[in-house]
Amino acid sequence: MLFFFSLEKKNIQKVYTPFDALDVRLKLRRSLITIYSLMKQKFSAKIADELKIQISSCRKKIEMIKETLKFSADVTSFFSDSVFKPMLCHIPPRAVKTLTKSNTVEELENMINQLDFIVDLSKQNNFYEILLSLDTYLKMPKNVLCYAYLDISLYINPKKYFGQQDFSEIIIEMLKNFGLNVKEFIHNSKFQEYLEKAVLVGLEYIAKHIRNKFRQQRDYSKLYQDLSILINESVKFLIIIIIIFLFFLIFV
Amino acid sequence: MHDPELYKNNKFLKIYLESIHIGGFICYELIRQSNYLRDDDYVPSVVSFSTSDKSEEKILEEILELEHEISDKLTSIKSKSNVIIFCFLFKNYVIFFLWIFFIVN
Repeated sequence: MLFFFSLEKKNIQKVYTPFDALDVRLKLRRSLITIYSLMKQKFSAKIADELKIQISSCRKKIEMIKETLKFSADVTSFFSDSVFKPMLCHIPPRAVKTLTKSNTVEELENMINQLDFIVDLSKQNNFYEILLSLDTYLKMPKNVLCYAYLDISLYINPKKYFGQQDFSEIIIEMLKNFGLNVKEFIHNSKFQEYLEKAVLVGLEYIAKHIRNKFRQQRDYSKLYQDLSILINESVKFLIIIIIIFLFFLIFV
Repeated sequence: MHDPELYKNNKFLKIYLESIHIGGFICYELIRQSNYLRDDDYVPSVVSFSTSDKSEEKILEEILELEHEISDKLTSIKSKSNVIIFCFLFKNYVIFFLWIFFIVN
């Protein structure tokens, strides 16, 4: 008897009412506004943790919205193609993209996934892994809000990765991985000076990496000039390491 | 959606659409801060976005109030359905015991 009861319980799926559908939509809206408010603030470890909580809550709500899509009303007749006309526009307006209900949920999911990806990216501390992650990010469907957020958060502080970790530490770690014994000259003033320049070039490389691919070709030529200065200076330390660094930048 | 006259008397729609508006405005301001984005990086066109009359805090409070209203409705619906289920089970039990009573007699 008990066995049958447990079986029945497993097979029972929650039946949603239109009130559940309304409730979850309002909750999602509240989470989204909280996320946007967090995104407005300066990126920090605390903000990253709060974003993670809101992201996981949004995911649950999106799943519930998918199950309650049948309650959504058709509002296509309320939509106006001419909405952009009275607005000020700096460039000619592009064609308005009309999304279906399922497409809207997909776009929302995509935004949440990308945001989650950015929060995870902020915790990485290996230069090569950062570049690989950025490549993965660039393959994701384009989302202008997340792109802008990544762009802003990466450069809050010109010397710190996501305004948290010193980028010089990431560069030192990379030099160590190449086999350079950094401990020997870490306190050397000339090495510190060199490190500062390497940080700028490294951050600039990351900046170019997330840019438009067509623009990258043009921008990289400028970066190579900076890199050549860096290589000349690196002769004082260990030229082979920097040549590997150069090869790494060009071919990876 | 763009004409407030359409939804000004509907509390749910009004707050919901206002929350979409304020969310859009925050996103627009965030995108504008980005130095590296240029015109061709944007998926939508760069359009101006009118400011919202309400603050985020105010909108969040209003959404929360609506959520409470809905949860009250949901609780009353659930309690009604519980009463219906109880009545149904009670009726079955009565029938069952009457049936047993007649068989025994």
